[in-house]
Amino acid sequence: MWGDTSFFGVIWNLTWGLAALSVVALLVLFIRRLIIQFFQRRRDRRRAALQDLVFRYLEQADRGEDPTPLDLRARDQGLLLSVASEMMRGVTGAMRGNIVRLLNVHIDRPRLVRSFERASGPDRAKLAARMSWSDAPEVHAALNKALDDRSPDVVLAAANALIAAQQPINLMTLMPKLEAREMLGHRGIRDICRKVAPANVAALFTLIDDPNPAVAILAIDTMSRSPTPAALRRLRGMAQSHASVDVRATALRTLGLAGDLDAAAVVTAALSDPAWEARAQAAVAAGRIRSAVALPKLAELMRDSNWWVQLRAAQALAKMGDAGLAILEGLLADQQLRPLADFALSERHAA
Amino acid sequence: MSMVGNALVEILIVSALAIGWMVFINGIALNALYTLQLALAYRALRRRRAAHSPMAAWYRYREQTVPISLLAPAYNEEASIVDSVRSMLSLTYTYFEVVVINDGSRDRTLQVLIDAFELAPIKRAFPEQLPHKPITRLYGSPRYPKLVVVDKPNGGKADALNAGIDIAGSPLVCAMDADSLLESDSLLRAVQPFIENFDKVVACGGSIRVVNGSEVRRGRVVRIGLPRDPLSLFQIIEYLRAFLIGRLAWSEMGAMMLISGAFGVFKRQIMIDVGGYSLNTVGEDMEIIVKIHRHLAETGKEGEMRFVPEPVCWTEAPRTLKGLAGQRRRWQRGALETFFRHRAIMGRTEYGLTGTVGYAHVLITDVIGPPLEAIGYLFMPLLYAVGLLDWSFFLAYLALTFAFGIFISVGSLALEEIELRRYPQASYLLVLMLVAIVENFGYRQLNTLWRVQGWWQFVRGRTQWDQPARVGFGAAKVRRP
Repeated sequence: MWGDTSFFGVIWNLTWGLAALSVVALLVLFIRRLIIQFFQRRRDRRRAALQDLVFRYLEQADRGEDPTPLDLRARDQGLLLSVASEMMRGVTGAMRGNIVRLLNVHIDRPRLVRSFERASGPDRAKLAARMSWSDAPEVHAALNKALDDRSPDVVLAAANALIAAQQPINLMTLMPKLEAREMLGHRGIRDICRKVAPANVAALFTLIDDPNPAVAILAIDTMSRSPTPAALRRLRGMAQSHASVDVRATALRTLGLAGDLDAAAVVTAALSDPAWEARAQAAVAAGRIRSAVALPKLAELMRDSNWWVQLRAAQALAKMGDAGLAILEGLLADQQLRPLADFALSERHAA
Repeated sequence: MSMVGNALVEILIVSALAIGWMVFINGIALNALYTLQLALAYRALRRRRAAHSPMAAWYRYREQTVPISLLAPAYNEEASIVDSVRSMLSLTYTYFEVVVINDGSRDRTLQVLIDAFELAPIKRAFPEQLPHKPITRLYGSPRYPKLVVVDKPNGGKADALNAGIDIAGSPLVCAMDADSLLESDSLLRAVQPFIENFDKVVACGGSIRVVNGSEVRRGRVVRIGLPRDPLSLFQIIEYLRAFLIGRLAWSEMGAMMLISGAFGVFKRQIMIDVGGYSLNTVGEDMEIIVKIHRHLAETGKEGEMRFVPEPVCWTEAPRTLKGLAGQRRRWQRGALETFFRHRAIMGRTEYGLTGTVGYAHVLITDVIGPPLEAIGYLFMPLLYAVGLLDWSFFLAYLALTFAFGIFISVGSLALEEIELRRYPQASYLLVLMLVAIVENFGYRQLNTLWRVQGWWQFVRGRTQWDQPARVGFGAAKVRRP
């Protein structure tokens, strides 16, 4: 039968082959599941036992006693790292110190580094996240090396681990790597940049002039947390004349958030920006700065071709005190603008 | 017999053989396509990022999430809406709002929402950018700042979703059914593609699973189980096949043709750019995806639609033949409507894989597939009985159909077991294995029949919805192993 090479012979062979494959697959799957279930239960039991040991160790340490070292097998190291990392989440102070001490005593760090270097993909990212407790230079070196990894998860985990270990990260060297791997849009990167901003002020000043708008935006966004007068000066210039609309809008947003009164003229000028995104951000910024010079232009923007600009202008007018409120009340008579004016006024009253 | 009679018999025989071959070739093409999809889906699952535990996902993504508005259209959902909204409000996510759109319910849906969440009329500015029935009133509550209820006259699901998109204040919107249950970390997982590449990704779908048989408490699936009724069991395998093979494979190829209406995350702007959901269709979820593909190709914009298997949305599957038949006929009509409405892109390379491979797939599986399969089941035994068909042809057709059917079902179960393993007990796996085999004998043929009926309704121009009767999540019971 298997030797039949006619059309229907081939079809029959295919049919029997598929049927046999399906049955074998089902059997394999079921046996595999039973084996997994067995080992999973064993691992859960071992994990629970290890947790008890760790709790006992921490209790002894907490009482100021010299804790008894854990009776560990070599293969328990990974499990201990996992248990301790979970315990460390959200824990600070003496408790954290005791967990770090436990790990320093029981984890073989050269072995950990070797495992990390051998690991790939999600396992590597997971290990990186679990290495933040270590103050060993070889661990830091391995994490620094991981900043070159191709996987965004590994880079993020390594950067966060280095930050948690209070190790410096240089944005000037990190940024080109992120740029090359198209990771600048990743929201995790933004958080990392914000965390390391205080130590990288000079770098940020250089990076906001980067020809790649994505780099400039990231740098501006990073600066927005604690803008210095010099940074605000620079942002005013960018809000006015940068070629990228996204950069202009981000600069305007930052100026507004900083409440930069010296930016009133720049913001008012930006209310006439050809791009609606920049006009909308300028209106938001004008509302935040409460610059009276922007009033006439904001009133004009209530008739802008873009609805979002109209909305932001209405909201900005509502924040401008009596003069702004008077303009909005005047617009209530206008059938077309009434809904937005009414909304902005009611939002203001609710606030 | 006269010469004319002989000629007629000759024509009949040739026609019968031609039809037989057509059915056979279509069957082979269909099964070859499914096998290719199985391989692609396996590759996609192997290459995907490892699933984080819910807690790990929260720590990993909480600071990176993109604000999202959940859009839940509700029509006559008085019995379940409060539990559903409570479940939505307790999702693990950083910035989100729940927009419930009461689509002119004739029962007390709006009133029970007002009473349960202490709602009062509110004002909110929003641009009216999409077509929908006028919004009568908006409701909100200081106690539940994440909840907005929209009241509007009845206009259908697409109309309600359009109203929700207009109201939504977030860059992402999640279209879902008011009676579906999202797992607490579903949103966190569904936005991962957006977090990774916000500029490029425009939409993302997640898996839909059958909740029948699982234990549900306060809008949460607390224990995954299997139902006792065979109809629900068959649908579990069917959903696994559709999501773990079909969607994943198309996502891998970059030619997603459908993101389920029960759970799909979209960029709000792209929905506005394409003019929102089309109002006069029963398959609005498939139609919007093809529309987005067309828009991206015609405007030269870059955009990707992805499928992520981990975010899970639980839905109640019809438990009666009547309910299931109505649902399947409607799905079939929806697929046909979309296919013919956008037929202009078929075979056109400027629409990328959507116009070529994607459309060919819809043609084979949804357009010509069901009638040809039905012809195969009815016509081939008939031809065999009257002696016009060689028995080897007939048997080969049957054997191939069933063997491939079982192989593909087993394949989907294998993917589930190897990569996701959501069913906790080995005994559940055993039951599903049996179901994967048995569903090919009877259930599959019934499905084909319903789809042919859907075809017929489409030809006759029927447009109304067949809402399957639901018994509610409270009735879901865990099957003991």
